[in-house]
Amino acid sequence: MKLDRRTFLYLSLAAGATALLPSGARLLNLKPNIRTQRQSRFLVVYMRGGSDNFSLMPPIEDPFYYSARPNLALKKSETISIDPLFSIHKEFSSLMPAWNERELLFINQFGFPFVGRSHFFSQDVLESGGLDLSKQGSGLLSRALHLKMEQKTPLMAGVSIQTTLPLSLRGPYNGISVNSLDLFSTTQTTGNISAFRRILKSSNEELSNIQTVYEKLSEAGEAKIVNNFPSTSFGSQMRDIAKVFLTHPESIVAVAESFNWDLHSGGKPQAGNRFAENVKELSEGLSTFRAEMIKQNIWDDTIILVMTEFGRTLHENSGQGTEHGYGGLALLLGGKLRDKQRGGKILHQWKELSPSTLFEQRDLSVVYDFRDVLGEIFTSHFQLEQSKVAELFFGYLPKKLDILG
Amino acid sequence: MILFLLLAFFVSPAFAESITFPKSELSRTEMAIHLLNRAAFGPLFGEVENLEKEKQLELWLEQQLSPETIPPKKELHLLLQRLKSIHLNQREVLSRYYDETDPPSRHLAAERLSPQLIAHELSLKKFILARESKAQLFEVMVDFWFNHFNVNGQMMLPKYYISSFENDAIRKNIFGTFENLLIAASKHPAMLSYLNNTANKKKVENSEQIGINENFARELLELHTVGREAYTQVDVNQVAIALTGWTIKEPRVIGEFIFEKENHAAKDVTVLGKTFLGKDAVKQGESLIKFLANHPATAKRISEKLCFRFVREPAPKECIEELSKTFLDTGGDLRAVYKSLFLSSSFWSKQSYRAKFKRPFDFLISAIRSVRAAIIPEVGVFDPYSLPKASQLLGENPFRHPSPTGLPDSIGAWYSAGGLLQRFQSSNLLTSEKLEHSIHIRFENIFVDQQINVGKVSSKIVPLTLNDKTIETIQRQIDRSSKSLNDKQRETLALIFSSLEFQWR
Repeated sequence: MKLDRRTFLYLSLAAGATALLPSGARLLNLKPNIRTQRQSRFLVVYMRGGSDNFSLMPPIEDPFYYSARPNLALKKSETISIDPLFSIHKEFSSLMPAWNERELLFINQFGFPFVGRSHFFSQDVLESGGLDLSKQGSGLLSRALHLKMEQKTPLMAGVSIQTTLPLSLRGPYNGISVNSLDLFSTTQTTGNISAFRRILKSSNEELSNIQTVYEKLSEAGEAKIVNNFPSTSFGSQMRDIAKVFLTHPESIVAVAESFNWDLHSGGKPQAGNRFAENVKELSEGLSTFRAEMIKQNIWDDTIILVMTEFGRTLHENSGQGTEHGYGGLALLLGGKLRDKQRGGKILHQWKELSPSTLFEQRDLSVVYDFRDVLGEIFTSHFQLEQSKVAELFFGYLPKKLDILG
Repeated sequence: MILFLLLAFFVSPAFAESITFPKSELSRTEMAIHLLNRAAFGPLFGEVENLEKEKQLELWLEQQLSPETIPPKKELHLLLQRLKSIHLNQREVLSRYYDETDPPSRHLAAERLSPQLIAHELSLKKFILARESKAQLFEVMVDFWFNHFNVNGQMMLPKYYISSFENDAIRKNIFGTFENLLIAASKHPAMLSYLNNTANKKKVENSEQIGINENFARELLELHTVGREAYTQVDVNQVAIALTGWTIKEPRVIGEFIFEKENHAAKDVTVLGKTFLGKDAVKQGESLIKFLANHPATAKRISEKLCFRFVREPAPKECIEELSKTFLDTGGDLRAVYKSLFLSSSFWSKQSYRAKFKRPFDFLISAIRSVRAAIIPEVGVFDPYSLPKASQLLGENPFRHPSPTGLPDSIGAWYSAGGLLQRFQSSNLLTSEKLEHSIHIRFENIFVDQQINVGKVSSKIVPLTLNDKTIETIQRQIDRSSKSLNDKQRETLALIFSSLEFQWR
């Protein structure tokens, strides 16, 4: 796809046509009652930097885990035991209600069958859906929305609370990305938005919908939520996504990012260290989001997939950190998992750790292909046809893992 | 004038042959706008009408390619004098700003010597130089290369080193060879700490530890030199072994590069087919970096990045080929590469004109330059309405970008409805009273008439940029408004800066 300016404008704005909802309805506050309107929602969280799977979910009974990580191994008492083989990091405690309700599934040895161990290569693979188009800037979620909506994708269908639009939401449909909804609450508004809309219209017909976006973001900015979200970067993203889900039923996909996982040094997972703080921030953001979604009656239609571009090496390095690895850990979370009795489990094909069971003698091999996990979300959660889903993965036909029933 | 030219002729070899631009479909005015949008941070108020004249544009570029011949402005020196940390050397920065309680707790907010001031003052320096310096191409290239070797000045140790990194590694080498630039960046404490080479040591006997730390080695290959397709995991490992022992001398007090022999693996390594001997100690890593600097894959990658940033996207093939050839023929002489770039027919092609979308800093600084607003340097790091803060809100936090890839430069990353709305908010902020302690706009110089004539004003500040309908719309908006004259002037500027046309460069 050649991305000259004209094509780009066309692509980014073709989506806009359907968004010209009668604004009168909104002004009179005649919003459709979202609580009666069931809508499947999907939130993707990227743990940027390659999160250490061995510290998120340590194989707590494995002797090789302890010998390979003299400083980094977690003692059993520093973890929450959830399985005969595995424990989870103690800072996951706020997610325990979800685990106990069988709404949480851990997927170990998660990743893709192309070894790169480069952040940028691996993130592009995850976000574009495979190897083929990773260079051409077309995002998997963008194409999925485009496919589901049959090219009439609403403006707010895909949202991220980021300064730049993530690759996953770029492509035939371009999502909406803003730094923070705080910019769009009425108290912050400066300037004349309708004049702005008119000058954009004079330079580009299709951009005239920008006022609609502005109003929709302002509406979301004013949404009344019940829970206090943590004032962390991840917490604020989750708060704003909750507000968007609450006010806009047409927003069905969201992307959030959690940072600082690339711990080549200072990667100790014990309490008081960076890694533990990362887990806490992630876990509390997710659990508050869950609580809010439950309160708003949206939770049972929501699926959250938390993933990272790769796992880490089993062995620690001399800087009390770890190097880039291969297979990682993913989390799948949602009310639907409970209904289908799929949560409260760990997907894995574990063999006792030894130099020979490690991939290239350094990290975990990949058993669960991210395309199979996402493929099932697209078919089961979004009711896309299996054959069409294969197009999203450049011809790869996802295998059924039966994680959503 | 003649005297100046003669002088310049003797001062710099670059003047030996005068510049001729390739044939272009662009008009002379468009050419001036184009060059000022790419080789500078956007046209200054009134600058286009001077440079579009016969030979002026050629002379301008010649001078830009020899920044050492451009006399520094006195008033610039006075402005920068007010930023304390940027004049200190590494040792002085550490002794005055190093804070044991880092990250600093809230109560430090009022203290003058918070370590957060280092990145903040460096950002202000960037704004001031981009606004005031006559050596525009030089500043544009500082921006490009800092981003290429991005270091996050928010992190624990790098925050004390970024000012020296910007000055000693980047500024001193960007008109020399790429090899020297790469060596300087690779040996700098900012890079060594940011990408954890300080933890890259030979394996301790009888230990299960991996020993080496691959972080810097990988980014050296992937981001700084040959690129993603050219290397394997084995190469990463080999580079890391060669760079064991490259670390920082007393990181909290001295902060200089040091080679620690006792932590060096001293093993032979083979990278991209070439072997480097372990017995060469620090020279092993140095020869390896020199080899990478001059590798054809590096030449291609650097050329592609330059063509992407300065010509258009995707980078035209002929541009990449032309620059790669210059790079390899001259042993990576960056000045020669820049010259090829700005004299290439792809640069002057109509397709490249206004084909790049401004990043947040580009956007803010081009607006500031278009009205010759003065930047006032004394703003504290915790001030909610400073220029660095305005840039951060738009998505570019100078010297504090969190990823070693640097800030994205593609249209796709910045051009979105949400992004445009943020620029609208920002344009209003920039022209409002809230930012008046950060920048000073002299409205009386821009608006000479009692009645606001948007066409006339915009042709001065953003020539050939707005289309007629946009001008008409703004005019109607202003005519209808019952606000005071000054408020109308502010609104005129805000609407011009938020227009879609102004976002392209």
